[in-house]
Order: sequence, then structure tokens, then C-alpha cells
Amino acid sequence: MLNVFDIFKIILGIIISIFVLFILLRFAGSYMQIGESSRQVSIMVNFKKTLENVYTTGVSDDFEFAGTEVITNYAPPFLMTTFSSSVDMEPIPLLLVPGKKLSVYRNEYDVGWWKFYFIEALPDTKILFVPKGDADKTIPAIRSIALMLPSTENTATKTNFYVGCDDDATGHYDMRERYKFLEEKIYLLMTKMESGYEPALCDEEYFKEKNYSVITISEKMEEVDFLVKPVENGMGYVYIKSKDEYEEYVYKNGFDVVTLLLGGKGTYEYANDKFFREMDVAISLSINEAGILMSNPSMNKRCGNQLNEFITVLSSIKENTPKIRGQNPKREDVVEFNSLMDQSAEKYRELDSLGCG
Amino acid sequence: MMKGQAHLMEYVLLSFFVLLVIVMFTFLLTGWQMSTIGSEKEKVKYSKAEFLFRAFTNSPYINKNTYKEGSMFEDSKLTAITCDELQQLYGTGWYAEVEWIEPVDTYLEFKDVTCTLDTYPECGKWSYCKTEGNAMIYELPINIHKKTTGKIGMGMLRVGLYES
Repeated sequence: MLNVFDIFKIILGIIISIFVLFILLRFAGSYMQIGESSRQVSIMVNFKKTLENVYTTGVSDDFEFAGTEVITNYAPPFLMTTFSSSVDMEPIPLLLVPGKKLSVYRNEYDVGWWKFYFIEALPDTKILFVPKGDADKTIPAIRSIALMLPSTENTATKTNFYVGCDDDATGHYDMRERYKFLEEKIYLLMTKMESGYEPALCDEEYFKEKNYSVITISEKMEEVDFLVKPVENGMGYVYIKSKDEYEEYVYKNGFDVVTLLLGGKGTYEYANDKFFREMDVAISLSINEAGILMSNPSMNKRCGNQLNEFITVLSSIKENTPKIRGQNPKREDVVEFNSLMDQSAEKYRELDSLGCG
Repeated sequence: MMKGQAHLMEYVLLSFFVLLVIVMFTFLLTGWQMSTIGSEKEKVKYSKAEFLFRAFTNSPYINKNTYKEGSMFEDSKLTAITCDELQQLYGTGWYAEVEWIEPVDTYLEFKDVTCTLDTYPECGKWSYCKTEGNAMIYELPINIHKKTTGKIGMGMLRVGLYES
């Protein structure tokens, strides 16, 4: 027969057990969540450190996300992560395609008097160029685009290049990394195209399944997903198929095409903004520096005229820049901008040869 | 009756101590987790300071353009660039100083003169964005190229990250 005290013990025991169990379960749940989040935070801290190391040293590296997809999306400059917070990548200009294993490479857009450094963090990537029409226009376009993609000779995760779809679809064994592609393949292609060869268009669906990025380069419109239409002086248009329509973007160099290829409109706008902001700093700095050197009698005597001309060209670029910022600048403004950039590079070479560069 | 009450109290006290142990254990684990997060935060701060320092050392904006091996600052670039421009590139919350430690030519007498557009080239140190406050400081000897004469001398780079 149970007495009152026994009943009290049972009830109190049940209440306390439920309470303790509830607390422990809640705590264990939160603790596991905190543990997982802190592990992911730690992975992201290491990833950012790798990006910073590559950006400052120029030595490329691999990064593996230890079996987890921590990055869900990249909305420049923010990396969206699975632990529901974003990581700001400023001040590093970053082009990133999410993946478990990434090659991290510092690329540069070099205009002689200034280098724009940017980081490319890409998983295994296969680029297939399909040039159609005049080789004099398509080959320089391929070269300028390939130069803005990573050279992965020193990393385990690769970016490979190939041209055309004439071979058996699975037979692209002959893919090359950037250096060999630019040094060997391009010349062979040029020779072949000059004697009348034109690569066939690709079955884009098939290559999409195989994770190839197909870039068709043609002066005419073609029914493809990603079309680069070179116009003049390094500039042209990129057409990206979206449902049944084409989105049109102006490109001034290979860097713009690569930003569109790797990240679409968001990355293109971010990268352009970053490029122009850094270029503004570089122009102001170069104009100031040239002014300082002109005020020095010995430097002025040696290269006063050239410094003056250099300042004039840089000032023109600075005036021209607001016209070409944004998605759809006028064709003539972009042509003029590119021509001014070429002139500035030429003037800088002259200065350098006089020992004033 | 008294015996029953004593039993009850015993039981309540036991339960209380069990709960106390659980709560203390929870606090202990949470404290440990917090300290791990704190040290992670500290690591991030060090990492930011280190990045700034290396970004300066290798910056294409202050290094000699054609120099490929490591870094060599150019005195004309150091004079031409401003704190605002550097903040546009690397953000805020830091300062940097560069000075000749082994001046070249006859500029020994100007080593304490800060370089500006007016004083260049008769000057020996540069300072960017320096304000009052405690900072985590990194220092490194660097090469400086004197553009007007083409000579190279030894300098010191100091980058500080302000503790906010």
C-alpha cells in the first residue's frame, strides 16, 4: 500500500526527470548547433585567410571545404553561408563560383601604369570556345577572355580550355590549361581558320550536363546561350540567353566577359564598380606623381614633355569614365575609352624607356 | 509527522543539488564555447592586421611598377598617394608610416621632414591616416627607390590597426 510520501516521491521524481530531460535535450540541441556553426565559421575564416594570402602574395592555392558546402551563393561582395550569416569580402575583388574544392588564383588586368588585381576562386572548370567568322576578330577576343581566367598549373583544381565541337563529344582529351592553350592551341587554330576552317556550333545541352561553359564568339547573332560579339578595339557585346530572350551587355575587355560568365549581371556590375573605383585612385595617384616629378628640375629636363602628355591622357580617361560606367554605355564612348587606355599604356612605355616610369 | 517532513526536505534538497550541478555544467560548457568564440574573434582581428600589413607591402599603388621580386616602394608614389585614396582601397581603422632608416644621397638632414607635394624630394618620412588611439602594430624593413636619382635605400614600414 502506497503512503502519501511515496506518492509525493513518485510525482516529484517524474516532474524533476521531465524537467532535467527537457533542459538537457534543449541544451544538447543548441550546443550541437553552436558547435556546427563555429566549425563553419572557422572554415570561412580559413577560406578568407587563403583568399587574402593569395591576393597579397600572388601565389595560387587550393581550398577544400572539408566535405561541407559552406557557401550557398555569392552576391558580391557578400558570401552567403549555410550558418545564416554573410561574409563581407571587401576589399578583395573576388570572382567566385561555389564548390567543395576551389582553386584560388590572383589574376590581373595590366595597363602598364596600373595593375588591377582580382581573385578567382573556381571549382574544376572547362571552357569551350567556339569562334565563328573572321579569325582577326575572334582570336583576339578568345585571347583576351582566356587571359582573364585562371592559370591553374600550380593547383590541383583545374581550369581547362578547348576550341570547337568537331571532335567526338566525349573526346575533348586534348584540353589545355591557360599557358599551353595561349601558347600552342591558339596559333594552331589561327592557322587552321586562315585556311578556311570554322569550328562547328556545340550541342549546348550536352555540354551543360558535362559541366562545360561554352563561349561562342561571332560577329553575327547565333542561337546560343552565351554569345560574345566582338565589334572594334577590344570592345563588343555579350548576349546571355534568359528564357526566350537575350540580355545584352557591353564589354570593354575580357575581364567584363569573364565576370558575366562566372557570375552574371550582379558580378559584372560589382566588378565594374570596383574596377572603376580602383582606377580612379590609380589615375589620381599617377597624375599627382607625374606632377611631383615635373616639379623636379632633373626629371623635368629628362622627361617633362612625356610626363605632361601622360597627365593629359590620364585626365581624358578620368573625364571619359563616367560615360562608360553602368550596364549599357554607348559604343563610341567605350571605343574612345579603350583607345585612351592604349594611348596611356604607350605613353607609360615611353616614360619607362626614359627611366621615368 | 516530523519524520515525514524531514524525508520530504531531504528529497527536495537532493533534487535542488542535482539541478544545481546541471546548471553549473551548462554554464561551464557555455563559458567554454564563449571563450572559443572570443579567441576566434581575436584571430580574425590579427588576421585583419596581418592582411593590411601584407597588402601594403605588396600594393601595386606604392611599389615600383616594373619590380617583380618582393616589394620595393617608390618615394614619388608614397608622396603622391593620400590617406583618402588608401582608405578607398583598404578601408578604415588603420594607419601607416614609412621612413628612411638608411637615407641615400645627401638627404640625411631631411630625414625628419614629412614628405608632401611641397617638401619632396627633400624629406625622409611619410605618414597616412594616423590619429590618437591604441593600435596593433606590425613593422618591417623595406626597400625604397628614390625616383629622382634612381638609388635604393633601406626604410621601415609600420602599419597599425586601431583597437576599436
